[in-house]
Amino acid sequence: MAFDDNKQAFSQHHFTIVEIDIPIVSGTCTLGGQAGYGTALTCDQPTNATQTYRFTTLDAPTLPVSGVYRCIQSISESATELQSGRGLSSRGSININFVDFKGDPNPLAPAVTNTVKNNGSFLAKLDARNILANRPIRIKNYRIVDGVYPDFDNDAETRHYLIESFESKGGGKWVARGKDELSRFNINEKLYPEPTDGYLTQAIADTGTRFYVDPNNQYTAGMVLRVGDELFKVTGVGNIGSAGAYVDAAFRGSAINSIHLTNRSEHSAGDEVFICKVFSGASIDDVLTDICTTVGIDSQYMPSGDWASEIAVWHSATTVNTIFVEAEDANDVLAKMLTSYMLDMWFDPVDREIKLSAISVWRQSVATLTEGVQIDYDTIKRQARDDLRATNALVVYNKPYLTSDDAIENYKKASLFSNSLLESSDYYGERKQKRFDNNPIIDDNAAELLTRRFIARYGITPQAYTWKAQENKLSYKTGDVVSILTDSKVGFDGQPDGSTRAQITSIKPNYNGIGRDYTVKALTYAPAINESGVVNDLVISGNQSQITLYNEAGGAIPEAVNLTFVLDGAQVSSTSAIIPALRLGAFPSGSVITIILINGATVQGKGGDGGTGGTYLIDDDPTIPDFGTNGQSGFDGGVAVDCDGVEVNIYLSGATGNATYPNADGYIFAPGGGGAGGPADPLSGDPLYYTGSGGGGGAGSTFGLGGSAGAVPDDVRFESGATGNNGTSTGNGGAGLDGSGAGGGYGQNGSANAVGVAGGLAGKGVVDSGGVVTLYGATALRYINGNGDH
Amino acid sequence: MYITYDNRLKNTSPNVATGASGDVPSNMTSSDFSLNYTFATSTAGVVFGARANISHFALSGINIANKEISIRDNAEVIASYTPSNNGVLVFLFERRDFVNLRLVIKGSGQPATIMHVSAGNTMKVPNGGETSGYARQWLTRGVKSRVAVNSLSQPIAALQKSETLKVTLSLPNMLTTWVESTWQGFLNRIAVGDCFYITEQDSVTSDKPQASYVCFEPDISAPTAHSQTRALQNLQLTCRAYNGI
Repeated sequence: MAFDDNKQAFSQHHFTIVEIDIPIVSGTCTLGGQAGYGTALTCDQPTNATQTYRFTTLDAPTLPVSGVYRCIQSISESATELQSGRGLSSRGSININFVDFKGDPNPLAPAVTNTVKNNGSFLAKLDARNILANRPIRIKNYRIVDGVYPDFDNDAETRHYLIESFESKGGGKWVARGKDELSRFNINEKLYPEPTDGYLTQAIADTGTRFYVDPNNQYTAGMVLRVGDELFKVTGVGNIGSAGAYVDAAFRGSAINSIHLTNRSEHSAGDEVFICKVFSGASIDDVLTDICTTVGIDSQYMPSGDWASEIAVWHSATTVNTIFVEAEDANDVLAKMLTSYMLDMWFDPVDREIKLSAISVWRQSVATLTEGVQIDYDTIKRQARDDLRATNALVVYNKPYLTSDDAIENYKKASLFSNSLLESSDYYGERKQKRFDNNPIIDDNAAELLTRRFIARYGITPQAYTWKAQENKLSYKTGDVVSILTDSKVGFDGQPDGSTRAQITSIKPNYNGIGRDYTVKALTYAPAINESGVVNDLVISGNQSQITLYNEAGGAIPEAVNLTFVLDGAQVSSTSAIIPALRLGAFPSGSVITIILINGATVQGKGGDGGTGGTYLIDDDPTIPDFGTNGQSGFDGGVAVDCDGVEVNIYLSGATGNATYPNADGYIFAPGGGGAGGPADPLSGDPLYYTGSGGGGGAGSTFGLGGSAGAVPDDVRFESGATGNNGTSTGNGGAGLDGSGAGGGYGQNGSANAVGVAGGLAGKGVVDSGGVVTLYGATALRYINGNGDH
Repeated sequence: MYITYDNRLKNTSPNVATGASGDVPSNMTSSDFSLNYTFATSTAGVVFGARANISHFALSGINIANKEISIRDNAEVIASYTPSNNGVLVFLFERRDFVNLRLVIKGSGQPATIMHVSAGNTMKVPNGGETSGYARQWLTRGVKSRVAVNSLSQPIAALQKSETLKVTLSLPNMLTTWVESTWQGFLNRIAVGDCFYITEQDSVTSDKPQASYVCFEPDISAPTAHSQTRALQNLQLTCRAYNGI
């Protein structure tokens, strides 16, 4: 029988045994030629066995097992507690109070005579003969049901800790303080990446490619090294491990990868050489595993399969591409990783492993807890955590020069997300901002998920719940998401509000009453899907670029959903003709998405750029051009909305059927194509030959740029044509010049040039991509299709 | 009522002839109840050897319910009983010298665990020892309960916790001669911190060994004078008790 087998029994008699493992010397034990006391401190011989001491509480029932010392006065355990938004949990700890008693902990040791047995007391001698710090200490919880004793080897729930100290409190009383096993690894005292003692043995100018380095480190090709503020990739090595060791860099000052750049500079002999930790296309769990492994966490405590599964579900499209260029406090690095990807990490003393869990409003409830059943009646308390609330989140990311300081000017991108509905006077009436630390780790996708998930999670003031629970009703674990039904939180109709969703942040066992009970803490959030299967409408406002609704909803949606997005006055655009301004993303099959545009919200793709004007080709006589080229075609316009195969209803005007947003008012415009570049005319040379002018740009929210004039041959008799006219964001294409084509207006192809080279195709309003898409209120004023599907 | 007067098995090492396990046999004779002996089989036999002047055999055990417990001198059964509960048993018999004192347990189910055994003399308490209000601790349960309820005050979980029983033995009108001899001899033994057994059986032929409990941590009050005669004394003894149920 396992601990859980009779867990739900109505009537239970609980008891607890505490075990401490101590290495001993079994058999011959001498200390300086005299008989020893059988422990590492009292024998010259090495330890060869482990003694498990077992203790139980003074009020434990009579146990059918021998050698369990009845001397524990009290047990208190501070369970690990998730720190919402901070990534790493608080550590668990225990205090166990003992009353000393007559006896000897090493009765079989050679020096333990009857006289020694009668001297002193058991715990005092245990403390004197051993170093107890960092020894495993286990709290084993048992129950007797219907008078049947448990199997002492197999029926316990074992909670694993390590002894931090064993102290006398005087009067024959002792206290063992314990910490959870995550503390074994002293994350606060470790650095990541591991520092090395590398240095330059010779100075190097900012042009050389051979760095003479110390013989202490095993440098290899492919490493990225940092010397001062300069990074370089090692392409070859020589004499490694000897006095003449060197590493070669291919090019000084060249980009390290597609993201990270560096500047070359001169360095002196003795300058530090740091071996950077490089991650390219790595998964989040790989990075976390490397950090934990580096600080000494044994792999048995890291369930790599569970971690990988969690990341695969909640961060399926996220990869880590970063370089750690200096040794930092590993705790800080770990916390940064966890907060960057909105992950919680904690140590589970029962499973004896480190847990990893993503924070998402899409996480589904594993149990419904009802006050009076799973929650002890009249014990629940609720506290508003307005310190966690935010309606607007900003993260600045993408740091090309990783060795520069953390000032904002060293970052290139930002992700901002607001929930304007919550900021309106009908709700909180204020903007409450969450500004994440500048982040050199995350990429575009992760930044978008971070800001969206944070606001989804903390947009409504989280409520911190605390209650008592009985062991036979404890059907959930720390980190689980549950639904709470309590009289202290009612719906509009006064009935207990079943939509209260919370994550369990802590489950603390209480040992000192009649039987065990538990103090449970949880933190609420507004779930994406409530208990009735109803999904809250998601409101998007402000200027938005290239948004994916799946990510806007927090990503990792577990099942088909009926979900409504409201574009409230939002201006949604794209800066690229090949990236839609708005796309649906990877909604599960069967999902039905409704998009309601209100308050003049507009979605437009990027206008096509104008083609480049023609130039002249010169043959034998450089003074006379043989012929002029005809100019390039204009570029195609982009896409406003790509439905990615999802079933979508789009409301542009008229009634929506939505109680909160009953009338639509919005626009979707296909952008225009770019005009063709003008031709270069070889007969026009009087007295100058002009290259072709650029084509006009297409219309679009991000309008198409006018094409460049044709390249000018290197001769004084050639002159440049004109740059094409840009399109506009109000619907007009750029006008043609000197034979170039005009850019198309909304939904129009770009014009051909004077010699018939075609303009770019009009962009697309709504592209179905295999989905069933219905437009409502799509009048000519509201919707311009271009080459779209409607 | 009888009270065990001494324990001639204390700290001896018996031999487990049947059902031996990895536990230390002398755990049974130690006054430390955390040291006990769990047999490997449900039928078990323990040999204590030759023991003189024995008029009781007491044991505290669990998983002894519905097993036949017998005290034997070699093959001869001196006393036998099959308890219906776990607990404390005190077998009384006429004082005798055992050639080979044996404890035999027969039955099925989970093997028995013996926390403590005692064998030796007993003293019969004059006047029966039971005054008005005397609590029969062998018939109670050493547990406290707590029940969690829902909003309708209906029970949803019941929990128990072991609780030490407390015994107050009031012995009025004891003969001064008895107090100054037998009682003093008894106090001399329990003063060294040993435990002792009280059984409510009224004769050595009574067949109620389960009407017993084991006492420890005695608080010995000084005998108080009788209101009318110096030939009588009033005694009171309080202690903590364990009945094994």
